[in-house]
Amino acid sequence: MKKLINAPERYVDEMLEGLTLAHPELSLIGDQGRVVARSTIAQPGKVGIVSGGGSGHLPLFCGYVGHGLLDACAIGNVFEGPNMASCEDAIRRADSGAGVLCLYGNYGGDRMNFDMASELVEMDSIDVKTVLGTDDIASAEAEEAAKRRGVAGLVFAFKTSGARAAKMGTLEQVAQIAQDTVSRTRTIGMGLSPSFLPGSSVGSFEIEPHEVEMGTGIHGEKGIWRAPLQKADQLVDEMVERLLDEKPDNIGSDVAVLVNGMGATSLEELFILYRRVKQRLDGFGFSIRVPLVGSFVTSMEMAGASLSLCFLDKELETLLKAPASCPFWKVGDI
Amino acid sequence: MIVTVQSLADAVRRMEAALLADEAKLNSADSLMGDGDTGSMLTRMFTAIAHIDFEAIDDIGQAFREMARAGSSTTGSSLGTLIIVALITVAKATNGNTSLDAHDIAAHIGAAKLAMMTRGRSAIGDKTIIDGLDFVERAIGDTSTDEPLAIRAVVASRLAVEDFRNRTSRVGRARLLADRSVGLDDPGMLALCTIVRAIANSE
Repeated sequence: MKKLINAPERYVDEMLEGLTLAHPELSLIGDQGRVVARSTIAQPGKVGIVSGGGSGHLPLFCGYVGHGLLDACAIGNVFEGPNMASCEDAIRRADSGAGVLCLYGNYGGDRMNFDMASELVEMDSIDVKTVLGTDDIASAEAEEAAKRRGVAGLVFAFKTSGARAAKMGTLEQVAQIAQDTVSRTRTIGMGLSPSFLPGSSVGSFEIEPHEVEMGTGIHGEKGIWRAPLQKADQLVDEMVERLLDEKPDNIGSDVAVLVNGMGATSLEELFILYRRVKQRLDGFGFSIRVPLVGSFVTSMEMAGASLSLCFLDKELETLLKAPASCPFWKVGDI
Repeated sequence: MIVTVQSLADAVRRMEAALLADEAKLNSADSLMGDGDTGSMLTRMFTAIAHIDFEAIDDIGQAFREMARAGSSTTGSSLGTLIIVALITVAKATNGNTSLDAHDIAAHIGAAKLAMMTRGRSAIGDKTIIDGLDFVERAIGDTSTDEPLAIRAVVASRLAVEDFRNRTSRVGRARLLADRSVGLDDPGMLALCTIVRAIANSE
């Protein structure tokens, strides 16, 4: 697989160097240079928000460090969780005296390293709460929803909890908003072609050129079914229906929508998908209050898309529309 | 028989060499269900561990702690982190001692196994490295045989792989490919075979 790199082993560090050179509002910190943080120290008393995960998903994770979003982010190797030291560095950097929310996807390595890092900083009286993204409905049955992976829907939780923290909410409040957002968000993906680890000729999953897989994860995890490629509208119809089948209880009619590209799928195709999503949600009586279309969570050169629905209440809608700014996403005026 | 910091350092060098030799094999095993980097990740980890200046360390607990610290700087993967958890557990238990008795190894493995299960939220039977450790712990804890510990450990780590080959994986990414995991060896259990064999090769 052709990639524009210098050496596979320098892929992550050179990417981080370039990111922070292009965006001086971000700094690379930590003993191993694997933490991206806001260059300006947060206002004293503001709850810090930290995320982290493997590389290969930009803008996720470190691309969401910025005002009204994350304060720091620990970065691992490609598709590999951040190490414990980087998690600890990120938490310490994000702490402004009001505690830190660790908000990341539900993956084993990420969880273990953040948990151990949290225990270490708690010995220094830094309050930490953890909320895990679990929005991928294809990754486990509804009865085991806590085992689900965190994918593109995590972005909604970054935004709402970041906005709540910017309004000087307490750690308890910020964590509660993040959990509410996760609990109200559902995502399903589909894959057309795999990604490749730098230096590897083996794809993250195998698929025939004429096939599509419904439910593929952002590391190429196996989906629900595989079949010859169908029309976009047909695929969207199934995705919408699968998400609505799992909608939370006691919701209203307002939703935020994220039609997300996995990396190699064009914006043109994503808008073709969004067109049908809007038609279908209108038909089911939903009102799209926040539409997002673009590559928000990728898997390097993987082709495909995911659809996320966040079922809103007034508070979540307000927080999603609050000003925010990071290298890959701007909302309102700061 | 006792394990000293020096014998631990020697074992680390053998583990590094063995993992380097098996790197491609472990990557290949991992690529069938994961992202194909288990061999490379472990090679990176044990190369960093092998760079520790063991001669400057007297306390075997401290040696295990330095191994955990060096290893953790190289990876955040699930398998790598579970190994760090095991090293930290043994470090705590042996802190303040200059050696550990071979007869206590089974107990240390048992404690490490429990810590890995707790941190990794997994169980015996999930088809992970923890099952390999479980086999090894029981084999070397068996007081009914005079067979050398090292041989029992090597045999047990291999038996674990064979015993679990036709079972389904129940945790991690492999859980999502459960039906495909039948007939495949777990890369973490294979890596344990490499590590145990390297440790045993001194005897």
